[in-house]
Amino acid sequence: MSEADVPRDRRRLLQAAADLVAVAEEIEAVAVRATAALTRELRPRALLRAAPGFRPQRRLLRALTHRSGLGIAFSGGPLGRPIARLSGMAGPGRLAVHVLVLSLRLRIAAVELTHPEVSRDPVLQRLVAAIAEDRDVAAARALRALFRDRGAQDALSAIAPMFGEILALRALLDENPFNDAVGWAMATGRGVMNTDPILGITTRVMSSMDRGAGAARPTDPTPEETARIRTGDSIVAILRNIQAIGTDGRVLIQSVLGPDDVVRYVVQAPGMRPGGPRNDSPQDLVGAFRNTVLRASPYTGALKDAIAQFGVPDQADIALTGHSAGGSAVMNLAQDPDFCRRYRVTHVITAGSPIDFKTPADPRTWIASITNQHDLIPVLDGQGSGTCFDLHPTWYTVDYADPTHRFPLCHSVAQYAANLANDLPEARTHIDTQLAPYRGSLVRSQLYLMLDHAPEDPR
Amino acid sequence: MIELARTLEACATKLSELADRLHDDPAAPPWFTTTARTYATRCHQAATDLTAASHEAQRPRP
Repeated sequence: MSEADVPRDRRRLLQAAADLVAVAEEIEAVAVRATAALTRELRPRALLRAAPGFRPQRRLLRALTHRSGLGIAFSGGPLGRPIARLSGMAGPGRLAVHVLVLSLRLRIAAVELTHPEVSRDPVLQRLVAAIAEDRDVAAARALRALFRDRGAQDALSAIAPMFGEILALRALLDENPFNDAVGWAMATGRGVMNTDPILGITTRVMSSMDRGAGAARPTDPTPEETARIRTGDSIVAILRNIQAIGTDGRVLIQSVLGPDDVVRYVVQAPGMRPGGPRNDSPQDLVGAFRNTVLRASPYTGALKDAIAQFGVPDQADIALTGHSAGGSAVMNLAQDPDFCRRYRVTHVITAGSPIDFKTPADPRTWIASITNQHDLIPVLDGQGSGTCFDLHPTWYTVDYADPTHRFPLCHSVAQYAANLANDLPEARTHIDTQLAPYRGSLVRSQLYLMLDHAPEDPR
Repeated sequence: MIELARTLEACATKLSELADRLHDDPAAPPWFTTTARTYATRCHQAATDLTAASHEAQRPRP
């Protein structure tokens, strides 16, 4: 197989994986309807007038339990839900789940085509095989070996390109019934990963810790920052500005006089602030979860406050850009119909952000999502480089692998900026062409410190 | 029920077609074709069970 064939081969396998998802969903829909039919047949009135030997009920029961048919396939309703929960999604031999698992295994095979290092790695191969074959002890051993031999950083980097598929396989096949739904949602591309796929704890629990309306306060850059901040009129300049202001809870807003003498506005939002899960800034870990899973957060509130304080006039053109959780937060703003009625969101550009399940309120908004295939953060919504779904055919997606393969290094804004500057000339040029209306002279540049609560807001 | 059985027959056909499509594909993993065909057979079996259930339900009751 030549290198030139790889993208075509990958597309073929991913198309087959998507076809399998459609089949799995149809089988599951049949299981739901057959369970409902059996539930009706088991009502006392139906049993009283049942055929001799309860033949229809027995046949239906067989259809819903036969190992060489649908497997234990009770699903939905007062009968299906408790039985499905007791038996777990995969067990024993539930056909719809097994077809979905086949799709996930095919997606991993597609990832291996573009990441030959995966198929060369015996420990990784052991891990993938053990998970796909539902051998928990072997999977745990392979995972332990991976972390022991490589260290956490390299182990995570190795798993990253197929992280979403591994999580979905694990959620579907383990004995924990509380993560089955999220495994199904991840594998079918039907929804954001709103439950932890390992333990089944809903991420809303964590999101609920992220309290506050969000507020912003203008702040001055240090002289070193002043020297580094440039006009955010190109993707590399924007990412380097975000790098310059760091992750200490600040956001940068700039106004630029464009080539047509129109003033436009660029919001540049950094990612999560390192440290404990929760701090006084919206850029904390719980905020990152909330921005991924929900549509509003203290971060989006703080961004709105900063934009209002900057004096962005109504109906002005605004480009929203962000790295990591900052990308999710700006995408949340673009999802907000009120915000989009007030301002014309022309562009959203994110780097290393989980935004697959977000949709802009204004269909004219041009969206670019830049993700490194070894970066785990964009996979937090459940869709990674092995996805077989084109969730947003109109978006400009740059999903690439750089030679370093190192996480978390590859997630850093500096690495994204360097990759775009040095390794991705085509993507850089395309994004910069889209940003042409924002190319011009800098009118004003202002930093804002973002807070969970306004200073006078009682907690 | 007959409608559900038809849906499963259609699923079986799609799985068999997928197996045929990737059978000689050098990019496809070796286990794919056999597994897809096994699942197609299971769809057929389940369709048979549902068809039988439908016939039993339609029989005149004493």
